[in-house]
Amino acid sequence: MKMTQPDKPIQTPDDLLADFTDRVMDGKIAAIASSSDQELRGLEETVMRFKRAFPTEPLDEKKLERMQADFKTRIRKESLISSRPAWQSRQFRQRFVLAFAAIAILVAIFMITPFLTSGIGDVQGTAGLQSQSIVLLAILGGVIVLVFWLGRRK
Amino acid sequence: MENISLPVPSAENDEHLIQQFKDGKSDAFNALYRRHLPSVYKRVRYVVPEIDVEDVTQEVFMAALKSLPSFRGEAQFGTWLRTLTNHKVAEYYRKRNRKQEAPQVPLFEALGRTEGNPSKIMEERIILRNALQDLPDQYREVILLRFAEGLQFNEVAKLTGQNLEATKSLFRRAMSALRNHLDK
Repeated sequence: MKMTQPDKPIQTPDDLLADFTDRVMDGKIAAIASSSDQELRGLEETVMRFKRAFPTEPLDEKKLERMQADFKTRIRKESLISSRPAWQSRQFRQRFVLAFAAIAILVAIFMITPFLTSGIGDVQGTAGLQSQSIVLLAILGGVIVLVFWLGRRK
Repeated sequence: MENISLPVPSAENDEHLIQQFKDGKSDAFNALYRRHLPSVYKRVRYVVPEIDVEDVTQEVFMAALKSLPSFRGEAQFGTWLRTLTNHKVAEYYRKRNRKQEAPQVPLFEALGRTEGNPSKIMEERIILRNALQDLPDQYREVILLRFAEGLQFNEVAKLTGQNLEATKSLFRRAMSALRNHLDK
């Protein structure tokens, strides 16, 4: 009578690498299995490199305590910052400058509009007004560029 | 140095602490911090240069503290914190890339500042960390869960909602991709 052996589950390369990794991580193995095929051996080598390069010991109590104390200090600092009046914040000041600049532009436009339009239709003596308009337009352009620059500045 | 073995954070305990925090007991967050600091710290140590590990870890918890009131518990706190950690690490690299004009710290100086003399292990850590950063997210995640957080493959499978075979297969592909990066 022929004895039949129970079927051994066939281990795939995925299983082999996972088993190897488990044993390495548990500290049960410190070398690459010699029977492995070349590709698997290469992957096992990478597993070993990871295990060797990164510490596996847990955080010690001293470090944990220090980090927690640092964290509490950070929270206090952050809450101090957030409890400052809004007008003291940088963002508020930036917005204030932008708003001021926008008002300045509007005032400038309001003031130069009569000069820009008064030349239209005039036949005589317009040369002086034209050059004045160009200067005013240049100033207006400069203000716009300045506002844009202020807005982009961090 | 005395090593401590903290109780493994369980979802039930986390939920209880989160509820306490939402009820106004700010000490509950200290307990959450203590429970989850080791795993967050380990994960960050695998992906961020040694010199910035503590800072990025604290940033993760600051973000958690700010967002916790709006945490609705759709995912476990640990999973939520893991996502937050990944975001903070990505933000760290974005900021670092933006500051390219700043003088780079020489490699050996950076090593010397952290753990005494520069060593081969530290160099190896930098090489592996860079290779890990270049991997697709799902590859990097399975490697971090197994190595950095020390989860068993069945735990990784449960967490990622895959079966065990698929998880092992993903791990092998991830290691293969990593090896290709290292060979370049």
